[in-house]
Amino acid sequence: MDKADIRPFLYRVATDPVYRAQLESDPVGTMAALGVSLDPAKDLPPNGIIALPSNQDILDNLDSLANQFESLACAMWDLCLLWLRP
Amino acid sequence: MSDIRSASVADLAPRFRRRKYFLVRVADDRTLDIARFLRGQVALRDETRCSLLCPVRGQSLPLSAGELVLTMKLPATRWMASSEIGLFSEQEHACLLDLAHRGIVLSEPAPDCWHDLAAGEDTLEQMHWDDLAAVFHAHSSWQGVVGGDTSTEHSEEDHRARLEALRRVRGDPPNHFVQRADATKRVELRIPPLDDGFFNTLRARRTTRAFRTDEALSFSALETVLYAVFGTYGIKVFAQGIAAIKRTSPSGGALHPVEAYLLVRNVDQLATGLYHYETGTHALAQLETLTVPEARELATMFVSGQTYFAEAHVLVIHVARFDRNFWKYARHRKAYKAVLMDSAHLSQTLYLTAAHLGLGAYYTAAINDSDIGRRLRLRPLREAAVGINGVGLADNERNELLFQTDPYRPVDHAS
Repeated sequence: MDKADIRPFLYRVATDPVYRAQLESDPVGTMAALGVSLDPAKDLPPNGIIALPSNQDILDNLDSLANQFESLACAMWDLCLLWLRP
Repeated sequence: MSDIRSASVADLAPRFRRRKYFLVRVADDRTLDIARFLRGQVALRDETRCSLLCPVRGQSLPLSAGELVLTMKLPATRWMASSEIGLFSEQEHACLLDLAHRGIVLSEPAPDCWHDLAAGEDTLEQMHWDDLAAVFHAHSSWQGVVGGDTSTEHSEEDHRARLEALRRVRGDPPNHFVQRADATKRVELRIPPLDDGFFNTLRARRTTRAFRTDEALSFSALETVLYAVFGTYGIKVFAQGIAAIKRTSPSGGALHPVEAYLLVRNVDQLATGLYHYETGTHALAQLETLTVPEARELATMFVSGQTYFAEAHVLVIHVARFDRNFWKYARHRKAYKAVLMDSAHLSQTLYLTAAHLGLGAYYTAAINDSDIGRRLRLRPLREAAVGINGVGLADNERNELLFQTDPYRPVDHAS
């Protein structure tokens, strides 16, 4: 999955119950639509039961995940602001 | 044109060729760990990926090792004829169609989603772009980037906390002063007095982050800044149609490929809008008029959300004409760097001119160059925005972002 797609994907899973249910019932097809091919033997739980993180858990992690991807962009503003005094 | 995947191979008999600018990156990229996500955890994992770095669109296009090998069987300088395509198995042919749809190889006819690819590659070649420079240029371009400065706390304690956080992650920074341990001798130098007009201007140079938004910049001040920095005051004609111009800043090969475009926000006797400064005639060519709110919004977008920079009375956008520089320095490994340095020279001259006139100034490379190019209707791959100077009336009363230094004299610190 492309970096730029991760945050929208997680946000949609956490806020769109229909999409969440679709992912739970057909993970291979849902992820294929995003260009991600899953290996059922490796990627799916052995018992076949999908247990997604809770919506709150996903939302709580959104910013910290995004920060890991956006550190380069943030660094540009650090250059401007880091050494300043009031 | 219909999508080539929707028609049979026999119907379309597409021809293929490898892209001429084909730089591949192999790296571990962080991605969502789907397997753990389906087991109830939100986590990232490293995934080794191979990507073609597209210099036309600035995208990283994933491809597998097998696909790379297949691509290398294609010629880059001519289309592979239908008869030659028979050399490939049915599976390989299907793979080539898929690669064409993903922009990895060129096909004729082209898929709808990549209709601009062949023309883009041709332009890069005609402009004599060096391949590494073309990839770097495209992949360092920004579109729709918005940084957040409004929520940043600016107290000294906050800055110190951010620095300490950085130190925890990256260790101590390299020292701000350098002394060579292998030096055989040190010769002490006299500190000369820098107190006449020119040196006072040099010492007065600074970056301004607060502008007086309630007062307009005078038209004459803008005229002076533009003529002093971007104006032409000399010319040398070498041959029919080949001339070098003289500005107050140096330029690689005397080519002066950097043009000034203006986003005027608040200048006496000048409508708010977008302009091109014509250095040959010392005139402003109006490209677009804007309302005051539109100009504010556009300025903020141009400088990627740095609202304090967007307040400047005039934003001077440095637009590099790569085609002019590369006409002389074709596929030259140093040419791209030289163009960026041209912009830096002009910026310093603008800073000094502003300091001399008692105006505020800044320079930023954190700009949405892709968006600016579209708005100014620049010719893609031939010219592009590379930086923005702001100039205007500094608001020294509320410049909470002003960088204040303590006095320093090297003689007091001599070893």
